[in-house]
Amino acid sequence: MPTSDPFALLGLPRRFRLDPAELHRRHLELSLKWHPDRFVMRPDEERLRAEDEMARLNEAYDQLRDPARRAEALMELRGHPASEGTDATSSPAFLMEMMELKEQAAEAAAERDRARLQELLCALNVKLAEEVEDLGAGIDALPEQTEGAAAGLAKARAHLTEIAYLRKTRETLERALIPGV
Amino acid sequence: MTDLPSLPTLPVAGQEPAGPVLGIDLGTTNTLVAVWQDGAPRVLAGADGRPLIPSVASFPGDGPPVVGSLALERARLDPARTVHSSKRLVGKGLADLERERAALPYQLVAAEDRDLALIDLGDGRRLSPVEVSAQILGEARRTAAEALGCPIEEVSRAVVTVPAYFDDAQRQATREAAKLAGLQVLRILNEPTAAALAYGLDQQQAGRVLVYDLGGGTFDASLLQLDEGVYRVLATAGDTYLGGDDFDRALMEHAAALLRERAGGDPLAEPAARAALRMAAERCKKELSSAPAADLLFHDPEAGIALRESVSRERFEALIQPLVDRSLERCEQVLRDAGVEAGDIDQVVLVGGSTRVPLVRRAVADAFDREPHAGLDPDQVVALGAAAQAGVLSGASDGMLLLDVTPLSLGIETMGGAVSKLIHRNTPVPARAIEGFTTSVDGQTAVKLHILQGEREMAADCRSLGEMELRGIPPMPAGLPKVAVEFTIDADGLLRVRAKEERSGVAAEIEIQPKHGLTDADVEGMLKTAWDHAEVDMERRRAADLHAQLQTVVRSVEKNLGLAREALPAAALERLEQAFEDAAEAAPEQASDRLKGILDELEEAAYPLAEALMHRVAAESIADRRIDEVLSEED
Repeated sequence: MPTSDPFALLGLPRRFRLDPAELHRRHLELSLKWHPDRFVMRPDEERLRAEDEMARLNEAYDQLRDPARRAEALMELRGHPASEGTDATSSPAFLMEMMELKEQAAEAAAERDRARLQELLCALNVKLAEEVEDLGAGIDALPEQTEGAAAGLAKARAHLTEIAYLRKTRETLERALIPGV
Repeated sequence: MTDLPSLPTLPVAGQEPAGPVLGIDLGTTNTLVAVWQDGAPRVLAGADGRPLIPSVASFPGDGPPVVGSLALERARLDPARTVHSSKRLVGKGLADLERERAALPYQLVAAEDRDLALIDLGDGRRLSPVEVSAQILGEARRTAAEALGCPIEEVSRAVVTVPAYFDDAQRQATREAAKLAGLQVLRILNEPTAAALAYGLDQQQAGRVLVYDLGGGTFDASLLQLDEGVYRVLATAGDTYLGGDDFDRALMEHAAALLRERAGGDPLAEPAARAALRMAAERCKKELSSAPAADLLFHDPEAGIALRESVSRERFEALIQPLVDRSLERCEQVLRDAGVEAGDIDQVVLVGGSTRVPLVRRAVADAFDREPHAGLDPDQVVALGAAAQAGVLSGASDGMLLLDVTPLSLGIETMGGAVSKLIHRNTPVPARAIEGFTTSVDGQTAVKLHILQGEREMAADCRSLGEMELRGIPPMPAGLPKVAVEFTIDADGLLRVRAKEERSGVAAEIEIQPKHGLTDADVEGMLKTAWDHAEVDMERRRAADLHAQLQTVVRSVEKNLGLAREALPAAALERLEQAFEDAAEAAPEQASDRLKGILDELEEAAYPLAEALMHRVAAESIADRRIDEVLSEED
């Protein structure tokens, strides 16, 4: 539920592909101006304003540095929130692949095979990177008009669903690597 | 404690106090205080010339609390009223502390009205761990005032460090402790971040730095990017139940197992025995950092238990290996979260006294394939960083900026007991997130928001921070209300939750009732009844303590001298008899320094006696019986 335009807030062009170094630099510049550490000795009013501004900047930064959230922000700004529209269904092939991966992960976790878990995590990260790449290409290629965008949007939603799924699986894998959590 | 003088009031907003801003490293075992002076951070030393203030407070029945090294001296004399490791207790419920309890010489009980652990002093008084931490912070404040030569009222502001992995309740508790000590907290700063700041000042190099911070009670790992005065935390992880205390406990358990094997029963049943064994374990651990083997030497004349066991470094390392492994797994998690490989790290910085343990240094060097940076005193680095941040906040030093993150995810419970995360771990702070929720029952006019912290999927597995309710929603069909929940985390890592039903405009900004903490009313009440023992005659308390300690040793020597007299060399016997005579004549009115001298001399002179007794026990191969029994056979 973004309340403003994170691209505008950080002074960046509104598109999926962005230079991480530039994002980093913009965030830093604005942090130097607004970080609450610079307002500790100021009156309450200014201090609270700074806390608020900095929280917004951080929210925008966090949104834009995460490809999935960046895509969602773009879709929302174009009037097609990712949460609306028909439920995106993933291909059976993808679901099969995930089921297999989950089974292997459960096996490795049961056997406390850390090396195998690491391996699976690695494979999953590669898959995730591919999905993000496809999602980005699709989003930046979306036509401005709503009419021609339907197919592209459906595809983007499917990618987002798959990314969310992959991330959940990754969390499970990572937890298996940390005993006691 | 209502008859005690009250504390000075906190500064009023708008009237800026002129005094220094302290940087305080409130540690599990030791506390340090530092200030920013002439462009650099400086650690302040106490009257004894030492910068370390033991994080121990003792609460005698007949006088004001005793804090620091004086309290440490009372640990054996008055174990049930001498509290160490309060940092491990703050912001926790009794259920969280099951594992801790067994090894503590003092009693923990549950508060009546909420899930909060209290310390039962055994004389009708109950204290919250926050009050104990407040005593320690108060001591740091006095130390600073004396070292800086300014009136205590002027020392009223501080940056206080906490482990990065401290949760909201623990941060709140730390803030409350400072308030009780008369300190306004300008910033709660994460310890590894503080360490990185001190390192950055020292080295002036850009790059990625991994801070491995193993303290007395907690472990933190943080990865930072250093860039021309900007310190950006990329990721952080930790364990609030992993530290040097656990190394001690591993040795204690080892010793207890040996004692049980030889003497049966529970050697740790008595608080005094637990306190003594804990000290023996700590001493042994410290010696093992520089020696290949050290004695676990434990002699409790009161309980009639003695143990002398040589522990090799290999044995010790085997005992603590699982703990060290756990810390390295957290480091891996940090790297994964930051998306960084071990090879991308430019420097590893060791922080915390426990990184003096050779196995720790070796394991870290192996894991990251580089020698850790060793240019800074691991005991002082956090305090130095806190002072640097104090310098930044007070405007005394600019050009530095810390960008920190929240270590744990925050969310609320949804139907079915799952957690919906609003703010994920490693999000930069201050942070803000808004998420929409709705009702599940037709005509529902109130919703309950259960606020949770942690990484697990289900609410039951996360840490509950508290609950709040949004009431007065007009009756609507299920699913129609739009409840916007807003979480904000301020720069101290503290959470505030707001909720609003958007169709009706019903709003609530509710302070979370701290589940494991103190309410504002509690804090107010404590402030009213708080003490400030700066004016109390510490000398008298100290002399009385030393005298009582002397009496204990005198009784023990008296009891045992008849038995082993023949075994002592003439010179040793003569020295002991002289020391014994001086001690027997000592009076509580004497100067504490003099009493301390007499006590030290007696303890040293009595050592051959203790040794002779132990040899005897061993030689007669009846080590499995209490010394008392051996003695009675002699009669």
